[in-house]
Amino acid sequence: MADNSGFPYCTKWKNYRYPLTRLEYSVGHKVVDDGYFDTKPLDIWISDDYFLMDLETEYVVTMTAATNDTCKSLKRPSVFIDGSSGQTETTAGNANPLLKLSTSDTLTNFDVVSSLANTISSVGKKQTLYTIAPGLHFGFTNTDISPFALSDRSGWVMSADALNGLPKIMDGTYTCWYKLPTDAGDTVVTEIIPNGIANKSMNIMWNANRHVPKRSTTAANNGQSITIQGSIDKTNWVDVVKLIDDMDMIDTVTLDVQNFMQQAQWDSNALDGDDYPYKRLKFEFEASASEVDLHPHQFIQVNITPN
Amino acid sequence: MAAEGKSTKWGRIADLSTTPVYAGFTAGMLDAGAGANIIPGGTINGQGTIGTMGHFCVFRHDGGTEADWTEPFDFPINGDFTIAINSSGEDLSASTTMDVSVQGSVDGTNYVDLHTDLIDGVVIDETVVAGVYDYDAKGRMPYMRLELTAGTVSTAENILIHVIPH
Repeated sequence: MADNSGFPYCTKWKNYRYPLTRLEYSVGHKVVDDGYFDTKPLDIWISDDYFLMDLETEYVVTMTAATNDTCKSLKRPSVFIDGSSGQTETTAGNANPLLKLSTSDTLTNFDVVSSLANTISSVGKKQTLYTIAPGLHFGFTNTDISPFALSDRSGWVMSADALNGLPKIMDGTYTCWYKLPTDAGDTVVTEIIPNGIANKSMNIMWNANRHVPKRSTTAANNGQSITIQGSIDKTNWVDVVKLIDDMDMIDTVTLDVQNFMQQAQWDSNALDGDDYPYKRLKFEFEASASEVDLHPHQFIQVNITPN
Repeated sequence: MAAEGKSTKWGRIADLSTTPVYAGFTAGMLDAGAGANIIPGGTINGQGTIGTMGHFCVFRHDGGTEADWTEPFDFPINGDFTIAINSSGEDLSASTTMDVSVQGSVDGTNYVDLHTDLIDGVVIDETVVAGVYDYDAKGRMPYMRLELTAGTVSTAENILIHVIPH
């Protein structure tokens, strides 16, 4: 089991965010390699500014032809993998691709035909998004489940001007991104919740944009828990209360949005509201025989809105 | 009928007593969020209008049993608030029961329940039904709205909903 903390496992808390915004083709990013994608390019979306950490390294999505085309290779700046420079490739096998084009959004499938997402593509259709880095997403404009030839690639480099004209949302809500733990028993902890809000009652929102992470098998479930922790010395931490207990991320084909967007209220005035000088959140992949692993390097947004 | 927004924006006129303020709003004006540009007014009696600490909207109960919702609150939530459903006590055409949940969102698009079924299966025909949202226990989010789900089918008609911050 791995207990992870700090970037790139989790970003710092920020008191601002950006609206989820689709970039126009080759605006705010430079298309480097688009293979088949030149006629039906990927849409690039941003909702945060972490892409500024690397404006030189190419992001690459490589497709594999099949009855349902699959993605078995994603390349992205290594800063989002292990904090280093350069580019890192994430791969998966035939049986468990990183995503599979389909007619529904599930923990294994990626809906390009009849998406239920609220995001609209550049061709005016509902578009499911994949988060490739904190606050950076892509979606397919092609609506076929098998349009690609072997090794069709789409590659781009981000530009700082992607943020031009975007409003910074500063409404009292704090935001961070963390990588979903990939193996049962793994945990990720956030940075310390800012002192200005840590001792107030607060609402914790998980996955506000309803993005669908992908897992590596078709087994039953993947249980994630969220616990608030306290400390008096920033070194020794205790679990104060488990806010969300073993939520099972279930397919959205059943319109089960609740398991993809979770919220919990922390009431600092309640009897179980043990207070500490320092607080943080712990995200845990519950250890159980029936749990299945997620694919690595999938970032999820967490928001805290204080009372 | 699909789940969708079915209300006007929130208004805050005090005197709603004479001409029913909910009258005149058709399905086309309110379905699918069309009411997002409509602010309902109250009675103007020649002496000006009176504002109130409460907020109200006209909600179109469309006769279905799917979940529909109001426009998001356009006023701050800094404490508990009272919700009143069918707040003018209208005589509806059926003994409609209603579930009311308070929902929140970070982006104004994707909502989750902050308090599920705060009002749970209560008959609203000829009755004002009220519930209180516990701010300390349930919190707030950047966007908030009410979700209403009728348990029994009624005909399409409009009702008033009030939210009164404490």
